Amino acid sequence: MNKIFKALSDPTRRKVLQLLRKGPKTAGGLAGEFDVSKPTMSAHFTVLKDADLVETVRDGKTITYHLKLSVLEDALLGFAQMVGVSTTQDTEQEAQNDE
Amino acid sequence: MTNEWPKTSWALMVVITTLASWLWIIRPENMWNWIAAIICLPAILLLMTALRRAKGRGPMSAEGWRKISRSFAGGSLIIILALGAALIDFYTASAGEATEWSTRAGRIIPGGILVVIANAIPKIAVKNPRYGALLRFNAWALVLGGVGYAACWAILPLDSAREPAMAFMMTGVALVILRTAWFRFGGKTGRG
Repeated sequence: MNKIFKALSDPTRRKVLQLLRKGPKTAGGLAGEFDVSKPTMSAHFTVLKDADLVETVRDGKTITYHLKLSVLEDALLGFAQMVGVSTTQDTEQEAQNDE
Repeated sequence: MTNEWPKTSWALMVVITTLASWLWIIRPENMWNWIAAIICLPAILLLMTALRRAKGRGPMSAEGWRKISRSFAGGSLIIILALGAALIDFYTASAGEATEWSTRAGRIIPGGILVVIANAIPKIAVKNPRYGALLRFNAWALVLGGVGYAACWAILPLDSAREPAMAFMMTGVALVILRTAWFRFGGKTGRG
């Protein structure tokens, strides 16, 4: 459950989940929607995948992300969106560590 | 039915038939309910097959069978929950020791199980966004229906809990049926 709270606590990751509601998207397509570095975006994807909120399908070099939210997780996402919880600095720190 | 029909679906049909037959023996006055439980899903399946043949379509693909068997499993679980609740109801009532809370528990448990199952429905990752929206809507409807049903039996006085609880459950099921029908027959431009 901690992983889910961590994943939903970041506005960028919440926006990724909102974008995936419209259908599966490639990693590049999703990254293009945000003004952040690739390592940061990659760290966001890892957090979402670890929390089992997205599923990845690899086709050659292309990775496609699919939404995988239960009703409870969906409700938590809506609540986090409404309250506007934010811990963006954590992920940026993780991405810097990856670099 | 064909070789593509999965073993789990056969197993679910056996469970339903066993529970309904058991209830038929202990509660013969509700015979038609138990007969309906036994035949409704196979009847829908046979009707679908007959309609498909009438339209001159070829044999169903493996993917088609997989989708139908998934829906069949969902329907079977709901029927099994209902039959299980009827059995619990019979044995807690006829033992002569049914307390208020054993009666409440007999109703809250099926509602809770429905919530747990429906909660996981949207975890199925799907490629089609419209189908994904359908799964999310149906899951929300069943979860809210199940929560409302369980909450009514947990909170309200026993003699006045049945109607509001059934209203929650039936609203959830009706929403699922309407949304699925809209998706299947009329919602080509709709979104969830």
